[in-house]
Amino acid sequence: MKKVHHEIVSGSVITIICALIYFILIPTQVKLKPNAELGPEFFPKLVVATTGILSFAHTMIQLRSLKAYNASLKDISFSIKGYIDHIIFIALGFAFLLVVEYLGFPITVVLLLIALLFFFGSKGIAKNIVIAVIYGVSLWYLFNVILKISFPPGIFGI
Amino acid sequence: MEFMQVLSSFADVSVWVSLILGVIVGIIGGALPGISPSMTIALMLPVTLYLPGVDAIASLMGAYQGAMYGGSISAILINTPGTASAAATAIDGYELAKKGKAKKALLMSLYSSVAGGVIGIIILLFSAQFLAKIALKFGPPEYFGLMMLSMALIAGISGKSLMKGLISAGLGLFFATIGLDPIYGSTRFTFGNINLFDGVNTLSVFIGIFALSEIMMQLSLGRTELNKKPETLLMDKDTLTIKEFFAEKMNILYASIIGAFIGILPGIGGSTASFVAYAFEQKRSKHPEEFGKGSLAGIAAPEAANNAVCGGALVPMLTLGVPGDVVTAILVGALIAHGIKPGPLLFVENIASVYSIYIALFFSLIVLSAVGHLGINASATIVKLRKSILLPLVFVICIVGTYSSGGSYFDVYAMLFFGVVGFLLRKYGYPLSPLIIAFVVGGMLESNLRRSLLLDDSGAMIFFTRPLSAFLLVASVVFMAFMVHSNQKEKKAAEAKKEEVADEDDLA
Amino acid sequence: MKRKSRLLSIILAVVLVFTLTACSAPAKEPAASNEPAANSEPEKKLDYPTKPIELIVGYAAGGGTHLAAELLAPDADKFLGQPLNIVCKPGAGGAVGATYVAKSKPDGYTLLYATVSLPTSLYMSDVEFEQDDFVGVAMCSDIAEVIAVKADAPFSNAKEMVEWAKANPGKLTWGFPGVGSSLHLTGANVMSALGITDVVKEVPFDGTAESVAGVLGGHITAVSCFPTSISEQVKAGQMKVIGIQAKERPADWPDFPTFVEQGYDATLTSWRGVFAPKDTPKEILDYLDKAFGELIATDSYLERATTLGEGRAYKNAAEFTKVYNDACPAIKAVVEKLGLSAK
Repeated sequence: MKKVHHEIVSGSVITIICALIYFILIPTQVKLKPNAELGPEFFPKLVVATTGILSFAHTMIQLRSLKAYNASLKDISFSIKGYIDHIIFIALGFAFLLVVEYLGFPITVVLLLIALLFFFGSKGIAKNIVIAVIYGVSLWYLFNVILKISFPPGIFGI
Repeated sequence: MEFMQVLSSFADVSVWVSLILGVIVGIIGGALPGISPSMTIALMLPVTLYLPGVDAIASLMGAYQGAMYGGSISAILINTPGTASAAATAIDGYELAKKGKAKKALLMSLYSSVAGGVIGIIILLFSAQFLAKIALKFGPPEYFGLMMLSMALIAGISGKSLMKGLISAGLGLFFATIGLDPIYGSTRFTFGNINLFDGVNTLSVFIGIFALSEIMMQLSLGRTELNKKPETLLMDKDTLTIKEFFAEKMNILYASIIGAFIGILPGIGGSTASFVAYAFEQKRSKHPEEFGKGSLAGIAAPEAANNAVCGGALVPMLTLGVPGDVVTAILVGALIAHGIKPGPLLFVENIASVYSIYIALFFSLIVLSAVGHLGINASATIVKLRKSILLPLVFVICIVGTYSSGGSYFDVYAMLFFGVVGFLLRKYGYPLSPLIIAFVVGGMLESNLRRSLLLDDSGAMIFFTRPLSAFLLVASVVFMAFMVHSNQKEKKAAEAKKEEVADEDDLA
Repeated sequence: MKRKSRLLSIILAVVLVFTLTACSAPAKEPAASNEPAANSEPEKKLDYPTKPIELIVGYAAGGGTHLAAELLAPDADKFLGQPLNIVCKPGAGGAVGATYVAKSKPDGYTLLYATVSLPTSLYMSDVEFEQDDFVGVAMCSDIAEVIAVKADAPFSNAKEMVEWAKANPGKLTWGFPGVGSSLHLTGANVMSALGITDVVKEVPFDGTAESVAGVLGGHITAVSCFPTSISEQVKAGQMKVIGIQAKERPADWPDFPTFVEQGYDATLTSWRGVFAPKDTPKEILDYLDKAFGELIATDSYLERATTLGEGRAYKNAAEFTKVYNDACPAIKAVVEKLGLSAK
């Protein structure tokens, strides 16, 4: 896919998102104020509409220039393969958030670190465990005990 | 003379110890993502209550300046702004770090911070009363004009595509509307979740968009690449030359003035000031295309501005008793707890405390430059870690920092969301800075617009019947036109250079 | 071989440190804590508190409410037997912190430091707690709000302000920090008591600093704020106080006339105090009631509170719970009148 294809894809996605926000999200999520001159929905509507129009224009411009680049819409293809690592990464983040309520911060963060270290390519199980434990516990100690920013304890009490 | 008396009280060792400890705590607090300058000061507050007045003031001023500088350390080294005011520094700072010039970037940040702080104090010293009068002239319409001017700068930093920059800014503005409506209190896009009532946590956005997106971009390099030992050769000849620093002298001067002035206005502080200074300098610079690729000017401007904010924010606090930003608001509490009541009578009744504050600020900058040096040598070693280890550590500190800023894991969810948003935007070539500026400014833009309409019955005309706001609005339009025009000129020049029309880089 | 054993010893050392840290960090040795000397009656020995007590503050660190909560910390060890950990969970005008406490285990180790915004958020937002999810433990302060104007305003007392407002409808603009804040509600209460709600304009700001600056700069006519925010400006002659909203003139502010004495019935004050979740066992509540009572009664507390400008207005658990429960319908009425009701 050439650059122009990327522009078309991103442009159209943003236009669609803006339309969704404008027509669906705003009416449902913005609590209106009866007889207000400039109500709470004014600014979001203005912003989203402008952004939507701009991205629509951008997409159109890019569509028109397809010919100049000797490309066509048929060349647009998606491969999720390139993004699998990123999905796993974010999933690890979510996993941390789900588990931390139960296991408590220090344990979960050490587990997360071990997983991440392997995921990012650091080799050596002993090395990774040591790094994870030292860093995770020090962070927890620094924030929880010294700075007194408490992390809610899990079922183990820490 | 009273001034001499106060000065002599600074000869006490305990005061210098307080100064040094304050600066150190400030730098560390600033460097830790999620611990903002106001939080650092708030955490120190209970301790300072047990200290005598001068010591307490010394430590707090030291922490203030230290924190404003400290944010740049993590911004430069790991693309994670330690404070919101260092987000602009991350843009060029991290690029320099990637090229192995981390030490140079850190030194530039340190010296610019000190220079900015000094200029901020000078402005405070000589024109406090005068500036306070000007600050009072800024009502909601004028704040709106100023925010419009800041938004106009976006046109300048959009890089190659103004259209995409505006779209990015539009997204930023949209995210800024999440939360309670500032005038009516209606919920907007909160999905019934009270954690969103005050809007998205600023740090979730900053850390997500900068740090997380960067980590994800790095992920694309592949495990073998990430596990390679980084080349340490580049670190050797890496310090800042005097020539390089003085090349930025006008930049720093302008940035400090911008920072001090924005600091003077209550409610606006370091994050706005640093971005405005960054965008302003990019437009003023003879090499604007270098911004975003590792330009030293791109570090000097925001760092000078955010330290100048310290001096500026003290102007209304000392002269009017009205704090100029979040940190000074806490300082007011600290001063009151020591029996010093900031207000118009402070200069008359308790000039000694005013002198202590001035002197403490000045000395704290001296301490900062000394302590900062030590910190740089220590922190630059972070760059020596291989990425397969560094990136997980950075991710975890992002989580911890984001959690700490609001005491809630919800903010961490938000950070992950914005990480994905930032990553996608980068992948598809949308500039991130406009989104950030729009997000920071958007809230104040809207609230002051609607607030202005409440002030009297003239409706929209209020912006033009008041000379100052009319001037600011006209200036923003002119500015924007100028930016667009010079953007077009640059584009044509760039296109004329290039023989090929098509950009064949395959982004998949 | 050597490398492996070195690595092993490092791991062992780290695990040891980890265990020690995890075990010793949170709790104080129970043996070190004594029951306060006064509590020497031959009662059933209460197994509380055995670890530090968390006091949740629903506002940003360094802000007014946080600093007020910090007043309780220095002597906590002596009177409560354990240190008081003050944790800020800001958001939604105190509602985030309140939700956290309402959902926490009612074992006496999680308390809430709240203000009159607690009942406000009940009616203004769709919150996950109810009025009776909390019981009062101790009221710490009760601050009266003032309406202040610039020194050169064309009126100097409540009556003149009413006359001016009625003669110039829509021209009197008054500012406050934040829709639904205690200053918004108390200010609205004053306007309603003065009977000028329909002829004045509300202008919400993002913070007290901006609203006070707005008055000083002549952009708005009046501001609703706490006395400490403008006391210096008043002393300097730059601003004047139209009235303070209290039943009688507070000892700290003898020069500010109350609305009551000027003939208008406005007495909604902004209290701050400690709450506990509703199912906390009675023995623990009694213990806390007594302990906080003694803590707040000390001179050192009074000294710290006065320096901060917070003052002291103590009510014990039973009285404070009554204040809270009485305030709820009153606040509900104001919220509905302002059109801010969530339901």
